[in-house]
Amino acid sequence: MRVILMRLIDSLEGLNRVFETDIIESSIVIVEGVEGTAKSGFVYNLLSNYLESADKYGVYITLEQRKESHLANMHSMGIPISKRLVISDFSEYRQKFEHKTQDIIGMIETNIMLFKERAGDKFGYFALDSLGALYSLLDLQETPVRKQMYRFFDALRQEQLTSFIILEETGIATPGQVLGSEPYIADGIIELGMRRHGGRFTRDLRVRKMRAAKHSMEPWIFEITPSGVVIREEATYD
Amino acid sequence: MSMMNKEIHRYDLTYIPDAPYIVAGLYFFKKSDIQDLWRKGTIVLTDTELWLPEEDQWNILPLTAIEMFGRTLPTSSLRDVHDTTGYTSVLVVDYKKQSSFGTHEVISTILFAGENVTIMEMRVQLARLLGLSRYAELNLTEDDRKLLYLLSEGIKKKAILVMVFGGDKEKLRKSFNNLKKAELCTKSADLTSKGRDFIARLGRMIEGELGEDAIAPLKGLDPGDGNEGREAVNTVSWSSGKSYMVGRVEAELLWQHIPFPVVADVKLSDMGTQLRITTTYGATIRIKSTSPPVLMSLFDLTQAAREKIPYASEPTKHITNLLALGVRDTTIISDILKITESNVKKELDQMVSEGVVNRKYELMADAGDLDETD
Repeated sequence: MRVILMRLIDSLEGLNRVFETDIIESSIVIVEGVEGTAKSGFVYNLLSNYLESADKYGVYITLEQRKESHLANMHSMGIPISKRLVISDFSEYRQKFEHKTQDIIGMIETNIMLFKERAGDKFGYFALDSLGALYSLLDLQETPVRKQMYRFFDALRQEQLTSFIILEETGIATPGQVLGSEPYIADGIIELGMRRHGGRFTRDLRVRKMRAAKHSMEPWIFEITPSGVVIREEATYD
Repeated sequence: MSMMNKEIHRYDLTYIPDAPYIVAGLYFFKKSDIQDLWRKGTIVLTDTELWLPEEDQWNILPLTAIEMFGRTLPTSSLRDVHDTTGYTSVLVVDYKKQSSFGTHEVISTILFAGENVTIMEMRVQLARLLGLSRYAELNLTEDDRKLLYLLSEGIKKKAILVMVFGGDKEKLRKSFNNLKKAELCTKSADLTSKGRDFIARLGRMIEGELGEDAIAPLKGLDPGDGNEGREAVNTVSWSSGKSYMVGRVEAELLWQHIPFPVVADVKLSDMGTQLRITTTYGATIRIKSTSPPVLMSLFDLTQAAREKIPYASEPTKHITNLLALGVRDTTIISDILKITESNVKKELDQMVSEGVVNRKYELMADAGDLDETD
C-alpha cells in the first residue's frame, strides 16, 4: 500500500494552490503583517492541522498573550485546538519577572529541549508569538540583537525544528529590522495583509520568499471561516 | 551553540509551587487542604532558572528572583510536611515577583520535600549556582564566615568558640558584632533568615576549611538546646562469630564497653546514630544512641585510641568528651585518659574558670552566652 505523507501546504484549504512544492523541514519562516491580519490564527491553524494528521508534536510559545486568551481567540476563529501543539505561555513569566530576565533566548532553548525530551523525535515544529515581544526582552547592552538572533535561529536549525516566527509590523522599526537581519537569516517570509478588494476589505497572503519551494509570488485572498483559515483566490488588485 | 550543552540537573520532588511567604509555617492552611497543594514531578535546574512542571508545560523561576533559600521551618510545619508527604527533608525557596497588578514586589515561597539525598543534592547545586555575590557588599571576613557557620551548627558557647578562635576573645567579639550588624544573626546568636540563606549559599565550603572532624567534637562540647533535660537511650551490641549480646547501657558507663587497646576500626554510621567498632580479634561492637553528642564523644575517644594518640596530648578535648558522657569522677577520668589526677583537676579548674563547666563539672548547657561579648 502506498503511504501518502501529509504536507504542510495541504494543512490549510487552498494553501497548496499558493505553493507547488512543500515548505522543507527545518525551515525558519517569518510570518509578518500588521495588526488584525490573523497572524497567530494562520500559524496556529496551519500547525495544529498538520500535527494532528502527521502524528507529530510542536510547541507554540506566546510571549504576549495568555494561553487562555489565545485559545479563546482560536476558538472564536473556528480553529480547532490540538493537544499536539502545546502552548507554552511565557506571558505570565514576563508579568512576574520581566525585570529579572537575563537570557530569554536561553530560556526558549531550555523549553524546546524539555519538550524534545518528552515527545522525542516526533517533536519537530515550533512557533514564536512574537518576535517584537522577544526583542523587547533582549538585553541589547550585552550582545547586539543581530548576533543574538543568529544564535537563536542557528539553535532552531540545529534542533531541526520547522519554525514559524510571527512578526508584527507596527510601522515603527524594531531593533532587528533596523539592522535588517531577519530577511537574510530566515528561509521564508510570508506576508499577511489587509487590502480593499471589490469594495470591501479582505485579508491576503503573499509568499515573499521560501527557499527550495516553488510558490506563487502573487497575493492570495484568505478568509476566516467557521472551520478556520481558507485560502480562496489569487487577488487581482489595481 | 547547541541546546544540549546546557547545564541541567533533575530532581524528583514533591513541592508546593507558589505558597504565600511562609513566616511561621503552614498554619494558615487547613490541614486537609495542604494535601491538595502538593505537586509531584521532575524539577529541572539550569544555571539560570528553576523549571517546575505544571500540566503540559512549566512554571519558570529565574534564579535571580530567589531572595533566600535554606530557611528552616518550625517543627510544627515540618510535622505537617511529614504528615502530608511522608518526607522529613525540606528545602524552602523564597523568591520575589511582581504583584498581580505589577505595582510592587511580593515574596512568595516554594516548598520542596523529598528524599534526603535529593534535597541535599539540589541544595548543593543551588548553593553553587547562586553563590555569595549578593552578600559581597557585607565584606565579611573569613573569621566572620567561620563564626556564622559554627553558630549555624548550634555551636554557640563562648568558651568553645574562643578555643576555635585560638584564644583570641577580641577577634571573636569583633566577628560576632559584624554578624549582628549585618543582620545575619541575632543578639542571642540565633541565625536570622538572611543568615540561613548565607549559610545555604556557602554550601559545605567552611566545613571543608574547618575539617569535618573538627565539627563533631565541637558539637560534643556543646550539646545545644535540643538535648537539654533529655536522657539518652543507648543500646550496645557485641558480636563475634556465632556469639551475640545486646543490652541497654547508661551513657556514663558506655566507655566500659569499648576495648580501647584492641580497636581496629571505628565508624559513625546511619546519619550519626550508630557507632560501629571492630576489634583486632574480629568482634564487632555497635552502639546506638538517641543523643548524637554521646556517640561523637565516644567516637573521638575511640579514634584517638585506635590511632595511638595519647589522650594527654589533648587533655581538655578528651576530658570534655568524658564530661559529655556524664563521667565526672576525677579518678575514673584519670584512669581512662592516663593523665594524673592532679593534672585532670588542673584542667577542670581551668575549664571552670573559662565557663565551659560549672563547679559540679557539668557542661554548661545554656546556648547563646556569646551575648556577653557586647
